Amino acid sequence: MESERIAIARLKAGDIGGLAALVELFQVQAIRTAYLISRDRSLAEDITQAAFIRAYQRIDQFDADASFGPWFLRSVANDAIKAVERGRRTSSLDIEDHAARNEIPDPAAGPAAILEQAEDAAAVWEMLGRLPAEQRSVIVLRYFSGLTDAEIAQRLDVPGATVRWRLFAARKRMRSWLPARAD
Amino acid sequence: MHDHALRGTLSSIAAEAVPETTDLWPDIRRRLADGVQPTRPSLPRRRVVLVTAAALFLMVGWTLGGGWLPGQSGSAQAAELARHDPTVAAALHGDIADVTVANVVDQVATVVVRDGTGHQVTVTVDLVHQIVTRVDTGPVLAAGLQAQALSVVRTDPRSAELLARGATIGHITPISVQAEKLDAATGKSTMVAETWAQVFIALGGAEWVAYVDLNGGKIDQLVDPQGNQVPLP
Repeated sequence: MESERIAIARLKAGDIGGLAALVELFQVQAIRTAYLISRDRSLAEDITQAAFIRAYQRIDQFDADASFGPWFLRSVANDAIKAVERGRRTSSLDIEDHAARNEIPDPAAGPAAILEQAEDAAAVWEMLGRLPAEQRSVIVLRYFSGLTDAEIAQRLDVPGATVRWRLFAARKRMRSWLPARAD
Repeated sequence: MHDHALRGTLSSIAAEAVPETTDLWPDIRRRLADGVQPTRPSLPRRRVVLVTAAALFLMVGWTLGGGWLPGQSGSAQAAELARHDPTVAAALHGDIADVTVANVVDQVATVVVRDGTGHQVTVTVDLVHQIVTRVDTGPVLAAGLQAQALSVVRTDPRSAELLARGATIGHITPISVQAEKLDAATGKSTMVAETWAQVFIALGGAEWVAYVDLNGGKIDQLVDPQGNQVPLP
């Protein structure tokens, strides 16, 4: 993207306007990705802000011929996973609390009702919350960001087999909450 | 669950939580102004090659490159230090209306601070020690050099076009430029200081700034109100 290249060049030249342009280009996608992984809007904004500032600090190390977006969004996704891992205890308690209130789809319900429930944003949100952060992140990167296995592997800096395993495990868990439907 | 349903649902969730209008830039800008700087500060430099009659190549670098406005390495700090310095406040006739970081060279910043009455001072900031080291009041560019700068601005096609549209020339101030002269034969370089003119051009409530290379007799850069360089036609 030409505007991205110009922004990188400006930033490398010390022009903070280049960073402003990059923020404008990538902030929404980055916050949304971080939000779906972290499930916390405020935390997602903090993560994204910190990632932009880190990019500003390390721009000298960035290859101007490379694409900024994947490099940046990888940083955001990994930071979001780390943030969730740090708060895992709290998340687990939250999940138990939601489960106790029967807000997740009821596996005993009929297929139509389950699908209706599962396709409801609140139900999907709850199911995502039950996944471990690493599995949740591959679901987000696959279904929200639309990345391939290879791209997710590159984004998360993990082997492709790991991505495939995490996707498999995540789908299996979600399927277990939707017993009547296949992928 | 169908993939497309999950994809659509995730997009809906994300869009609802994080609308397109979300703007992190003010917060990021504030954090940068609070002192976050590149870990490996590199002075932005733009190089121009000049060929002398003696076939000596002069390579000139200075910090008026693309990032000459706020945002150069250290410029945010320089602006804040100049804005809050009591000597600067005392030298002005009213509240500060505008702070412009003209350049940053080797951790020394030149900042132009103007008040609401049109008076301005040129402030030198030592970024290493985080102090204002000099406050120059009023124009210090010699009258002859001002006339030379005006002549250049009136003849350059970019600024002439602005003037033809009714633009007016405002302040003309000196600006120090660090130049690196490189002898291509020996590979040795020496740093020299040059004085250029900074000419403010106003049109329709907006302001352009021309950086006039007085030795070269030309506008080196004309910067529009958005901070972009105006190219030669």
